[in-house]
Amino acid sequence: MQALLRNAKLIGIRHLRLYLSLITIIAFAWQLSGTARAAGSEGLKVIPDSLVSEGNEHYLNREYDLAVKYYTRVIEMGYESAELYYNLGNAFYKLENLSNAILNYEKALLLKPGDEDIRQNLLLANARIIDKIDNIPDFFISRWANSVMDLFSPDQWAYLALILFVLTLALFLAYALVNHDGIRRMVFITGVLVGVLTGLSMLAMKGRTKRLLQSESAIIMVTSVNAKSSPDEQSTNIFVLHEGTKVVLVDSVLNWKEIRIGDGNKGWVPDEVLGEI
Amino acid sequence: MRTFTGIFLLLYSCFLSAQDVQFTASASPNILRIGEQFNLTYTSDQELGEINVPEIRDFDILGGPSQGHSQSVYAENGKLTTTSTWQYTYFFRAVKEGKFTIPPATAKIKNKTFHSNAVTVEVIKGKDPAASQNQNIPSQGTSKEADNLRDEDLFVSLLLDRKEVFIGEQIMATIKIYTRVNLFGIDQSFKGPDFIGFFTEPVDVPPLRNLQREAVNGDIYGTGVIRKVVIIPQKTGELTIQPFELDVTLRREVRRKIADSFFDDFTIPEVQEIPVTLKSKAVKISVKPLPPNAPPSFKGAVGDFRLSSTINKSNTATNEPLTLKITLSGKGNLKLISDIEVKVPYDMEKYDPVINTHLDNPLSGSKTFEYLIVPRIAGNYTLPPAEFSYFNPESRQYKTLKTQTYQIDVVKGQGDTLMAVIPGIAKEDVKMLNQDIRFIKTKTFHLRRIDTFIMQSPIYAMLYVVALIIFILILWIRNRLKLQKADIAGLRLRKADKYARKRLKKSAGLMKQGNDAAFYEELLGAIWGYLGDKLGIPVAQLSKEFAKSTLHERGVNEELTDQLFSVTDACEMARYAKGTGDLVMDELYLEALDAISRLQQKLK
Repeated sequence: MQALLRNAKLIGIRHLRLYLSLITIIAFAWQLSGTARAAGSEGLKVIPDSLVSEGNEHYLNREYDLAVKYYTRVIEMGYESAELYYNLGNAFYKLENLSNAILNYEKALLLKPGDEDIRQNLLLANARIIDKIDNIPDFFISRWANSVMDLFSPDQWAYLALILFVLTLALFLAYALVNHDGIRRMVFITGVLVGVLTGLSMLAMKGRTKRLLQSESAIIMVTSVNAKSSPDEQSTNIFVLHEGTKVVLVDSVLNWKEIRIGDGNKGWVPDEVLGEI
Repeated sequence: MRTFTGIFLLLYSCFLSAQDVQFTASASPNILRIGEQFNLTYTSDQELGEINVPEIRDFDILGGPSQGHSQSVYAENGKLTTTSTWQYTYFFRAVKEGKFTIPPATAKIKNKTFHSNAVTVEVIKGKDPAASQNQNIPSQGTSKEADNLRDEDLFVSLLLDRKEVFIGEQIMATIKIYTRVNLFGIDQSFKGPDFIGFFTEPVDVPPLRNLQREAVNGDIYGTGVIRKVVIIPQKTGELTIQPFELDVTLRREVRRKIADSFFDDFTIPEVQEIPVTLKSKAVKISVKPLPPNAPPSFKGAVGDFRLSSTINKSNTATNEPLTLKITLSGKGNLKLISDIEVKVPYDMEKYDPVINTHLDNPLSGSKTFEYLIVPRIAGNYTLPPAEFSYFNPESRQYKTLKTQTYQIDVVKGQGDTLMAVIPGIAKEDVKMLNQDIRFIKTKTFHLRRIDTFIMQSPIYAMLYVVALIIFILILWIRNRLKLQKADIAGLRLRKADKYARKRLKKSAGLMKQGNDAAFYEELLGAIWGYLGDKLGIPVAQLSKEFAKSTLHERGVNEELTDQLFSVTDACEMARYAKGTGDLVMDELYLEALDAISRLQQKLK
C-alpha cells in the first residue's frame, strides 16, 4: 500500500518535471523568436536612428525643412514613435505649416496620450488656427473609459492582460488545491475580480489597437474647404472649415468622407483635403 | 579828397595781406535772348591798377569799361568800419545762341596778379517779346483781357525731385510759378494741393519778392517758388496728385480810346489789374512696395540713417534712474519714426521716451529718444542693444543698426532696504516673457514598426493557450492523484471482509493445530485489521475508544460493538492467561465471525 502511494507521488513529480521543461522550452522559444526579430531588423534599425538624430541636428540649426525631410524618411521606412511625430510636428510648426504640425502632434498624442509636452504644443498650435469650434463634451463614462484606456500603450495593455490572465488561472488553481475554507473563499473572490480585470484590459488593448489601426479623426490640410451636404460637388455648402481643424470621420463613400466637427455638425468633404490621424 | 583816400588806402593796404583782395566777375542778367544786353562787372575791394579782360568774341561789345567807386562807412560796436568797392563794367549784346563762358580776367594790384572767377552766360533764341506784347494790345474793351493770355505766358507747376519711389521714401515737391508777363500779386492764402495718399510736411520758403530769370522751353521766364512740401507716399501703386488752382493778379497797361466829338480820337494809357486763375497739371508718381524680406525690427523707416547711443552712468543704485539717449540721424522720413524699441531687463522699469526731432534741412536731420530706466533690484545687468532697421532706396536693401550693449552695475539703494524687510513684497511670480512650443525630444527613443502590435502576434495568443493548458494539466494531475488515493481506500474497504475472513480461517486452522497464542493473535489481528480497513484508519492509530465512538457515529448499535470488543477483551485476556480451553477458543472464533458478519452488513 505504501509503495503504491509513493508510486503515485512519483508519477506526479515526473509530470511536474515535464511541465516545467515544457514551460522552459516555450519561454526559450519566445526569447529566441524575440532575438530573431531583433536580429532581422538590426541591419535596418541603425539607419532610422541615425536619421532621427540627424533630423534633430538640423532642427537645432534651425534648418526646419531639412529636419522635416529626415523625420519623414524615418516614417516612410515604416517606423514610428510618439517622440518622432512630436519632433516632426515641431519642425512643421516652426515652418508655419500648422495643419501638418497639428496632424503630427495628434499622431504623437495617440501613441502617448499622457505626454505633457505634446499636449502643450498641440494646444499652442490649435490656438493659432482659424476655426474655433466648441466641442460638445464627451459623455462622462466614455471620457473616463478613454482616460483609463490612455494609461498604457496597446503593447503594455497586452502584457498586462497576459499577466492578469495567468494570475487568474493561478488563483483558481489555488482555489482548487487549498483545503482551508476561509482561504478558499478569499482566493475565489480575488480570482473572479482579477478575471474581470483581465477582461477589461483585453478590451482596452483591443480598443487602443483599433484606434491606432483605423483613423477615427482627421485634420483639414487645405487653407479652406466647403463641407457639402452630400458626397457630390454640386450639392449645397453647409459650412466652411479652415486649415488645422480636427474632424471626426464618420462615413466614407468613394473618394468622399463624411465628417463631424466638434459642435456636432456633419458634412461631406473630398478625401484629399484630409490628413488622417 | 581823392588823394587823401589814396594815401589812406596806401597806408591801409600795407597792413593788408594779398589774400584778402577780392576780385570777382559777374554777368547780369546771365540768361538772355539774342539781341538783349548784359553787363559784365568786375568788382574788387581794392583799387585795380591794371585790368586785363579776356578777349570776348561771342558778344558785341557796346561800351565800357565804366568805372565806379563806392564807399560805405558804418559803426559797429563803437568801431568805424569802412568798405570800399571799385567796379569796372562792360556792356555787351548777345548775338548768337549758346552757353558761353567768359574766362577769368586778371588784374594787377600792387604788383601782384589776381584772377577773377569765370562767368557763364546763356543765350537763347527766345521769342520776340514784342510779338506777344502786340497781341496783348486789346482791340476792344477790357472784358476779354484774360482770354488773350496764353497758357505759355503764365503757368504754375508742381515739380518733384523724383517720380519713382518706394513707399515711405521722401519726395521734395516744389510749386513754382513761371511768367513772361507782368505779375503783380499771388494769392497769399494759397495752401497747395491735397496730397492724397501722402504724408506731408511743409517747408518754410521766404515770401516771393523777386522773380528769377530762368530759361524754360527755349524762352526766358521769371520764376518763383511759392511753396515747398516734403511728401511721403503712404500707399503703393500709381498715385496722382490732382491739379490745383492758384489765383494771381496781373498788371497790364492798356490804352483806352476816348471818343470825343470836338477832338480826334485819342488813347490814354491806363494800368489795369486782372485776376487770373491758374490751373496746374496732374502729376503721377509710381510708388513701389518694399521688398518682402523685412527684418523684424523694421517699422517703415526709409532712407539712410546712423544710430548712436549714450548712457549717463553705468553704476547706479536701485531706484536711481539712468538715462539712455539714442540718436538717430540721417536722411529719410524721420518724422514718421515714432519709436526705437529698447528692451530692458525685467527687473528694470522703462518709461516712455522723450523724443526730440531736429531737422537740418527738410529732408534730413536727427531724432533723439531719451529713455528713463529705473533699476528696481540690485545686480549686474546687461542692457541689450536697441535695434533699428531701415530700407535704403538707393541700394534697395534693408539695413539693421544696433546700439552698443551696456553693462550696468546696480547696488542696493537706501530705499530698498525697507522693502526687503517686509516679507512677501520682494517675491514675484515667474514672468512669462513669450510663448513658444516646447523643444523637440532629443533623447534616443524606441522606434517601433508602424501598426504592429504584440496583440496581433501568434505567439501572444499562444501564450494564453499555453497558460490555459498548464492550468488544465495541473488540475488534471491533481484529480488523478485524488482518485488514486480514493482507490486505495476503496480497495481496503472492499477487501476488508475477505481479508478478515481469511485471517479468521487461518485462526481456525491454528486452533485445530492447538497453537493457542497464534490463534488469539490472528483473531485480534483479523478484528482490528477489519476495523482499520473499514474505518479508513491505520491499525497502529486505532484504539478501542476511538473505534467504539467511530462505529457509534456510523450507526452501529451498542450491542454489536460490545459483542465485538468482548471478543477482543477475551482474546487479550487469553493471550496473557494461558489455558482457557478449546471450548472458549471455539466460542470466541464463532463470536468474532458473527460480529464481523453483522458489522459487514451494517457498514456496507
